[in-house]
Amino acid sequence: MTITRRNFNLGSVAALGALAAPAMARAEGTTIVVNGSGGSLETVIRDMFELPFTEQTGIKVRASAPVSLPKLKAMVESGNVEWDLTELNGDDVVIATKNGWLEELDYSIIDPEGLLPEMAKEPTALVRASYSTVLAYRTDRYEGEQPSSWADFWDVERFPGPRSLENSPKGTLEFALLADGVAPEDLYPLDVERALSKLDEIKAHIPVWWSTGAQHVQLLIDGEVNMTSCWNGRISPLQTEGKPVAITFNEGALMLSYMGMPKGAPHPKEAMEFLKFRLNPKLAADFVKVVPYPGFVPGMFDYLEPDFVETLPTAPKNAAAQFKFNSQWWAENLEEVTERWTEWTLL
Amino acid sequence: MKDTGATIEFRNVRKEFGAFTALDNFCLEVGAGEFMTLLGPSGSGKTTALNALAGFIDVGQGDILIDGISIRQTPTEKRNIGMVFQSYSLFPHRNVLANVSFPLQMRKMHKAEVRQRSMKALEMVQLAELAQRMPHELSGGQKQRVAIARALVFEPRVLLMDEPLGALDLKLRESLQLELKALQKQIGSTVIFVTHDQGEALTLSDRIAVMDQGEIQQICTPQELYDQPASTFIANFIGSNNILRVGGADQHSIQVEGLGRIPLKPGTEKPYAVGLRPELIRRTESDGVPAMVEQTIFSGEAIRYIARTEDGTEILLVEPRHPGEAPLAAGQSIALGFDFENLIFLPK
Amino acid sequence: MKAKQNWRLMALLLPAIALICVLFLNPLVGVLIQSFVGDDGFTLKSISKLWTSRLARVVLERTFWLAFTVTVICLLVGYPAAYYMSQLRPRKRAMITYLVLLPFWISILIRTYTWIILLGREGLVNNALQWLGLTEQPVQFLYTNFAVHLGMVQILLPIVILPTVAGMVNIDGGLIKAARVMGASPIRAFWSVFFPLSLSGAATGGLICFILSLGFYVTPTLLGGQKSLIIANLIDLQVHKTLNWGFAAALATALLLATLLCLLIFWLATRNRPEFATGGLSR
Repeated sequence: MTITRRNFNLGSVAALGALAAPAMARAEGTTIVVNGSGGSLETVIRDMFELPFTEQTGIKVRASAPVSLPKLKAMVESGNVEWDLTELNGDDVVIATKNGWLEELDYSIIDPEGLLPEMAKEPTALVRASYSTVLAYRTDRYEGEQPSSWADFWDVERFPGPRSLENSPKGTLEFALLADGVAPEDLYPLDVERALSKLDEIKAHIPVWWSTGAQHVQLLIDGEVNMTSCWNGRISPLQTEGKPVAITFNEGALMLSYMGMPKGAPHPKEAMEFLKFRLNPKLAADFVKVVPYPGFVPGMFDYLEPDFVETLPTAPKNAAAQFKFNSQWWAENLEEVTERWTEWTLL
Repeated sequence: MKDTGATIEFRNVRKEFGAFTALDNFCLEVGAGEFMTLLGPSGSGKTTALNALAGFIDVGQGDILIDGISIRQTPTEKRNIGMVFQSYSLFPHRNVLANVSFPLQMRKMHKAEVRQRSMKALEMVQLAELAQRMPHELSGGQKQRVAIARALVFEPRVLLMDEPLGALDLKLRESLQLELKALQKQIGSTVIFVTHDQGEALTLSDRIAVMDQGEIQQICTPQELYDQPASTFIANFIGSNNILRVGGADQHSIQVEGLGRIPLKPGTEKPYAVGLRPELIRRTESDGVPAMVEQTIFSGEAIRYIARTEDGTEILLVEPRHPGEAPLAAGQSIALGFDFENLIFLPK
Repeated sequence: MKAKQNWRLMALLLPAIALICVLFLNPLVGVLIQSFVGDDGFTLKSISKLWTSRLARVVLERTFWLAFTVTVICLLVGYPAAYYMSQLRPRKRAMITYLVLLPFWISILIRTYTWIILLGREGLVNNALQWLGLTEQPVQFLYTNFAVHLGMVQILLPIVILPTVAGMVNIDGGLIKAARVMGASPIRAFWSVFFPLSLSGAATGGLICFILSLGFYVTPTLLGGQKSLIIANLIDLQVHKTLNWGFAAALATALLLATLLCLLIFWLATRNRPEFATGGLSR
């Protein structure tokens, strides 16, 4: 017998032990499993989408977490697929599609009237949300002028103090190039070495590289850093609490988050029904009021206050100030760049 | 014999551990080069005396002097005392030679001299060929010999031994006893030897101090101790003995159980008991105390009989064995003879 | 008869052996296989990367150096504490042992987070330093090697102290007396007798500490900067970020082999020393 990755993974996936038996779910009528990032968001999604969906269709929804490409890979390769849908990052979609881990979506079910913009529809994934990685800062640290660009972020003379960036090349390299004067439209293909040498300039001012959303928020409010790259949705709750923090959308990275269906998902039809349900503009608007990561749901803005729309990454003004993160380039270069990045950060 | 031993004196030493008095007004003088044994049951204070002399414990009251100089303020390591412990206390991480060298190294002696003197000490205990062995590779007897060599290597004027042979089997113990005695003669140190084995004490000592409850009961030569024990306790403790209770008495005689009426020298106080060594009783054809053999015990060179007299007293007697002669059987009637001068009159 | 009894006693080991086989050996073999499996079956690519990748080499070196320094600090700090404990009466020693073990009731994660609170720029220590006027700007304690050492030493200290105490308690007090009476001052008696005999226990503690340090993950991740990240972090990175499972498995294998090598060296260095035979835990 030759040992292949496939039959080895059978064992390792079984060892994960967290997988429900799909046969059992089928026997009980239909329950689809939707994998997301968990946390408090899970409750919001359940109340706003999952329960009403069950009420309307009789199809039950079970949430699981976290989003993990390795887990998707393990499931598909072992043939033991638990998820019917999973959230995915832009470049995850590219990698997963290339490796054949995702099912093609049938847009005649999801969007029968063809209302979705082309930008929202990938053959194997649907845009679920958009978010920005932007510059966030402590408003109480600098008198007068506040940082408003990545060039300011790099300017340790005018804006002294520790800062943080994500421990990932994605976005971070783009910010370095923008700080170095590259025009947003000329970013891709990225000049990785130029970005890294620009990063060398502030490496000493970065005591910690964040890796989770919770962490960069904590760093800011604990005063560990004065500025950080940051997910836009994390800041408004802090401002509501009266914390001295702010963001600028200027030169932010507009990123898309998708929903995809693992190859061999047990309930493809029901899963696509659920995707369709989530495109209801009224529900989507209510959801965005709580979670400011809007998808491209046609007609959603009609249900929102203009002032609120201003704070969303996809608001026309904000979208114009940002650059569009190129998932395709990242998917193609991820392995190589990540390796280079790891080396650069660890050595 | 070299005259290198020091004199030792305990002056009214008192030591208490909580409510327990280990030494009570303890006085002892040991002459230069003398082999003095502290003999007594456990808890009698003999080890406490030794520890006080070595400086392991502080003396509560009184004083200890070596060569007439008080050592109460002298720390252990400056007392220049050699010591052998019951548990050997060899350093497990040092080989035999390094163990023996230890006291010399502590005295900052030159390396070559350390080696030469250590080997000499090992030769003295006939272990020179095991110099490179580790302690765990030695037998019990070899371990104790190393310990003795280690205690003697710096030619201490005072040598303390705390039941040094207690952990060894009988045969080994007996041969080491003789070796120890010879070594001591050769080196001339003053020795204080602690044991609860009276046989060992009798064999080795110049003098023996019998201790009980923190006090010295009797101090004398081994022979005196054997022949004239000062108390019933000692008579019982040293060798085997028949301790016979004394009943009624008049001016000229006393009634001793088992033996009957015994004349009392004029002016002698009535004793509490009378001791009679079993080897000093002989069988007679007539004119003895009638008794009946109850048990016959064969012990190699001798035969011991337990006999019962007519008044029900148990008497032990020991006879040298005569080859070819059958021992008496139980139930046989005998007569016991003894000399009045061999009776030991014992106070309580 | 004896053999039969041995077999019966061996049977008592069966549950433990079964658990080890299922939960340890099985995944272990999986990891070993994974280091030789690429997209097209068998490959030496992952293993050879251990030599060719400067990153792997540097991080491995860093891991061993961190484990070494943490162990040395633990021994330096733990030894006097262990000595103190070994000199107590058994009752009191048991009480202090409970206190030493107390931190084990709290998870490593929480203990590590506590350091974040203490050492942060606006944390207790920095506030105190600024209040005392010892520094104007907050000192960067967090995300440094210093913080990693502090966190790891705090977690590993009991693991060094307990075997050291056990070793010390087993030292025959008579040996010290013997040394004293033979002319050693208390200090010389300590260094020439107590210290060498206490080494077996301390070495056992140090070895366990060293091996545990090699696999540390949470503490360097939370308290360290990028320069403090060690092999476990690199493995995690390969598993979750770059999805290079082959290299992750190769790194894990390298760590395992390095650990076994340490055990082998320890065994070779101590096998002829009787006091090490039982790891200093008993005589």
